[in-house]
Amino acid sequence: MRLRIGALEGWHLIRTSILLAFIISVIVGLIYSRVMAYSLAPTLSVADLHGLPIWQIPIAYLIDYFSHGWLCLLFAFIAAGLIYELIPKHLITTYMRSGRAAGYLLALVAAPFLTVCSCTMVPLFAGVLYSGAGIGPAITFLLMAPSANILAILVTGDLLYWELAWVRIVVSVIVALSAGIVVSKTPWGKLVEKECHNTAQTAVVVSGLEQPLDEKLWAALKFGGYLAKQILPYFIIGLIAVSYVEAYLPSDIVGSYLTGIGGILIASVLGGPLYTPTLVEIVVGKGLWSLGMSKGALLAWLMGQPYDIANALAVSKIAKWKVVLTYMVIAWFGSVVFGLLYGVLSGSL
Amino acid sequence: METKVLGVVKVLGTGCPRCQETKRLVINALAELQLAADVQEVKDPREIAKHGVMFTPAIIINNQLVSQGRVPTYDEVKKWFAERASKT
Repeated sequence: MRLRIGALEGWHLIRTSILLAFIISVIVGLIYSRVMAYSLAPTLSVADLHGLPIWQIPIAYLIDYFSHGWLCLLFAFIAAGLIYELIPKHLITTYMRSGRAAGYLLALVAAPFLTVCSCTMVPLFAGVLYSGAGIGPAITFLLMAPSANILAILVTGDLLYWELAWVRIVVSVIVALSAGIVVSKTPWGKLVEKECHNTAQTAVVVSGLEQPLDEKLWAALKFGGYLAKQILPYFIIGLIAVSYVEAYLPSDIVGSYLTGIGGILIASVLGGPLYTPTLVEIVVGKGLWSLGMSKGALLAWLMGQPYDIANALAVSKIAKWKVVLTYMVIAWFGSVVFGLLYGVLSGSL
Repeated sequence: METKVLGVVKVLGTGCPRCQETKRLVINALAELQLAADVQEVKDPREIAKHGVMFTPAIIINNQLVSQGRVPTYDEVKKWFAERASKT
């Protein structure tokens, strides 16, 4: 019996080391590749795409992207899986109950790590709302999640540029926080809050046996793989569409419509219906940006989270339509204002 | 072999693939352990929230939350069930 336990521990140890070695090698690989500007194939330019026959355009574009982007994607999915799986979820549930300010803080800090998967979004929104934290933190959470989640930020930084990724985080925080506070002050927001307040029971939590680390790591990698399976098909379709946009959309059209104040307005409205929490908005944004969209319009484009239609529909069943419309308008307004501000500050309006 | 009774097993989740997988584990474990139980799926986000759960998929056995925010392993599910099963 003793021997068996020993053998089992040895097996856990081996599995843990293999999994850790894999994760560490991906992280080291990512850092190395970014420092050395590594790429498996030479990088394409828009001019290269023009010379290709129609069917070769997406293939060349995909090869070009994945030859340097695969490491970042691999890292992003592993990181998303790890953080979601290892985060102490009981603690979050407990703190969310402790009051409004804690609710806002947690909504801002936790959202980027907890909402990599669209199917976790709505239960979390309802959970925050019913936990006693109220409608404000719930809205903050809802808006913060899709635009500043860890997958979106890593891919924004890698595919576009890192300054934009940081700006995206800061603007998301400001917009999400103001939308949350405003909605919580409106009469219809207060009504929803009153209806939901403290109807949640406290679930009796049974502390199970602590899982061995290797099982946790394995579950995290499996979750990362699940996310990749959900998101990558859309991401690849997005890349294929963008390869044609880059090859055929004349840059003077982009340059004349997607720059200036009008460009920001158009980008904030156009980015909306196209917005999906599947990284596609980043891919399409990159295509337009390389054809001459201004940086201000690019930010407005990326802040399309108020139009996350699937979430808005689900939320409208829990909260009221007025609440959904209020936060949509605030978030749209935020994307325009900060698009303008970023355009002026970065000298690319 | 006598049938044992477990009580009410609730699987909370909005219907995403991970919740489906959890439900499958629950049903398989009940069958393997030959347990009679009332398995309920809770899909409405409001109902999930009212159970005090924020992270799906979650499993509640007789009002005890045993797992949330992850797909448990099959062995874990069997262990939770075996611990709580009682003879009729």
